[in-house]
Amino acid sequence: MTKYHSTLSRREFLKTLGLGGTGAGLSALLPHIGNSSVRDLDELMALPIASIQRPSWVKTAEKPTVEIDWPQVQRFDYHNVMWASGLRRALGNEQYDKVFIDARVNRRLWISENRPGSRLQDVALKEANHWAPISFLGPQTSPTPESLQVPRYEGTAEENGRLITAFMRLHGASHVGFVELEAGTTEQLIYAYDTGIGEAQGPRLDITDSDFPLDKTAEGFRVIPRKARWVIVYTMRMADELMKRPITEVGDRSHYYMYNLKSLLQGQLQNFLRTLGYMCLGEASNFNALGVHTGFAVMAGIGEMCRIGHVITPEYGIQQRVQMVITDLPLPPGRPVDFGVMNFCRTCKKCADYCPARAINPATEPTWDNGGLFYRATGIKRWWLNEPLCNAYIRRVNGCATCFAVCPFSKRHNMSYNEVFRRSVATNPVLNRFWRRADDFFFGDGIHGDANKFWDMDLPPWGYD
Amino acid sequence: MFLAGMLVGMAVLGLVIYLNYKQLDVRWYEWLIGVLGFGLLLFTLQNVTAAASEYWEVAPLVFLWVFGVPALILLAVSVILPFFRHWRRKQASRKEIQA
Ligand code: SF4
Ligand code: SF4
Repeated sequence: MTKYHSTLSRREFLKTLGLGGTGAGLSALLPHIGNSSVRDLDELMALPIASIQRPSWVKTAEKPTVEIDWPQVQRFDYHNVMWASGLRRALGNEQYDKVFIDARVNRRLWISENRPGSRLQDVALKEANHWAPISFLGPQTSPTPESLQVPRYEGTAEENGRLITAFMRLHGASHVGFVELEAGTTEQLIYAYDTGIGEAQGPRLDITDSDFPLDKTAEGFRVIPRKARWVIVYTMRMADELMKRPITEVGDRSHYYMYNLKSLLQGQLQNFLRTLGYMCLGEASNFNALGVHTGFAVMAGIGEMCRIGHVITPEYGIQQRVQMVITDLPLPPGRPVDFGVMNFCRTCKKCADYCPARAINPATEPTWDNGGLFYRATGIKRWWLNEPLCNAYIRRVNGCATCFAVCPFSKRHNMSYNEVFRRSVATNPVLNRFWRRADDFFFGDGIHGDANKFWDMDLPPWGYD
Repeated sequence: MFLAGMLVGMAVLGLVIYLNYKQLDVRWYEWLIGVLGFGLLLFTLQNVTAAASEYWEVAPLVFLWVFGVPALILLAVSVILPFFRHWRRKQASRKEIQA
C-alpha cells in the first residue's frame, strides 16, 4: 500500500509501463493526428485534441446562467424519473399500459404503410443496438500499478485534465469537463438512489469516508468514497442528419448509437484510470445513472441549460448526449459558461411552438415552482416540462426529439450566418427576437423533409464531419 | 479560404489597374458601396454553398434571394455610377468643343 501513495513523475510512470521514451508499444495504439505521429501520452497531451478551444464570445461566469438554490437541492431518486417508474406512477397502470399498446400498433402500422423513416429497414436501424457490459466499478480487466509493481501515476490537476481530455476525445467524446464534488452544492447532483433495472428501485448511493468503492446492489446500496471528488463529464455528439428527422425510427437512432458508444467508452475509461492507479465509478446503466448529467455539464462549463432542460453547447447546440463518471484522480474543475442561451430561450420558444405533445412550457420566465411533483428536482429555476406528456408521446411514436431538431442552435458551423447568429446571441441579446424570426424565415421548422433520404446520403463516419 | 483571398486580391489589383488605364475617377462612397456589395456577395455564396452542404433544401434559395439580389444591386450601382459620371463628363466636353 505504501507504493500506492508514493509519487512518480508522469514520464517515469509511462516509461515504467513501457510507454515512455520511444514508446513503440503505445504508438501502435495511438493515432496519427494530422502529420504528427504520437509516440507517448505526453505528446498526446500536448496536441490540440487534449483541450477544447472555444470562440471568444463564450464567457466563463461565476455562477451558471440557470439559477440554483443549493440549500433547496435534494439528492434525487432516479426511480422517480419517467424512464424508471415515473411514467407509470404519473399516468396510472391502465393509461401506462395503453401507451405501450399504442407504440406497438403504431410501429406495425407504419411499417406496413412504408411510412418514411419508420419502415422495416428504419426499425432495424433503430434496434441495431449492441452494448458493452457496463457497471459501477468497471470491467477491471486492465493491469493495476500493484500488478505491474510500480507506484501509481501522479500529475498535477491540469496535467491530469489534459490526459483525460486527450484520452476521451481519442475514444469518441466531443466535450470533456470536470466538476469537483463539494458537500452542499455539487455533491447534491449525485443521485440519492441510482438507476435500477427497468422500473425497479435502484440501489442507494452512499457517499462515505470509505477507502474503496463498493457495489452491493443485491443488498441495496453502492458506496462512493468521499475521496473520489471529481466528476468527469463528457459528451458524445449525435448525427445531425438523424436528429433532423424527428418522430421516425431513423431520428431516434441518433440517441441509441451514442448510448451504445458510451457503454464501450465508459469501460475503456475505467480501465485506463485503473492502470493509472485510480478508481473510476461509472454509470451502471446503458442510459443515465449516477447523477444529474445536465447539472454536471453546466457546472463543468460544457454548455448552458436551455428551455427543455438539456445542455446547449456552443459547438453542437442540443445535439449531444451527456455522460459522467466519478474518480479520485485530481482534476481541474471547470467554470460555468455564458453565451446567451438562457436569455435567448426566454424569447425564442420555438421548441414549445413545435412540440407535438404540447409538453414544453412556453412561459417567458422560468420558475422555482416545481408544482410539488414527485418526478421533479428541487431548488432550480427552470421551465418545467410536462414530463409525463413528453415521455408518453416519445414512447407512443417510438421516438420524438422534435425539440432537438427545431432548436435554432441545432445547426452545423458551415454557414457564416450561424456564426453571426451565435455571436449576436452571446453579445447582443436585444436582437434575440429578430434571430428567432430569422431562423423561421431561413430554415422554417428546421426539420429535414424526407426521412428516407438518409439512406442515400454519402455521410462521413458517425454521420458528421 | 486562401484561394478565395488570392482571387479577391487579384480581382482588386486588376480593378485598380483597369481604373487607372481608363482614367475613371471613383468617389469614396462608390468604393464603399462596391465593397459592401462585394462583401455581401461573398457572404451569399458562402451561405448558399454551406447551407446546401448541410442538406437544407429551401435555405440556399432564401439566402440567394435575400442577400444575393441586394449584393448584385450594390455592385451594379458602384459600377454604373463612375461610368455614368465619366460618360456625362465626356458629353459635356464634347458639347463645349462643338460650341
Ligand atoms: S421530445 Fe417531443 S414530446 Fe418531448 S418535449 Fe421534445 S418535442 Fe415535446
Ligand atoms: S428552441 Fe429556442 S427556446 Fe427551445 S431550447 Fe432551443 S433556443 Fe431554447
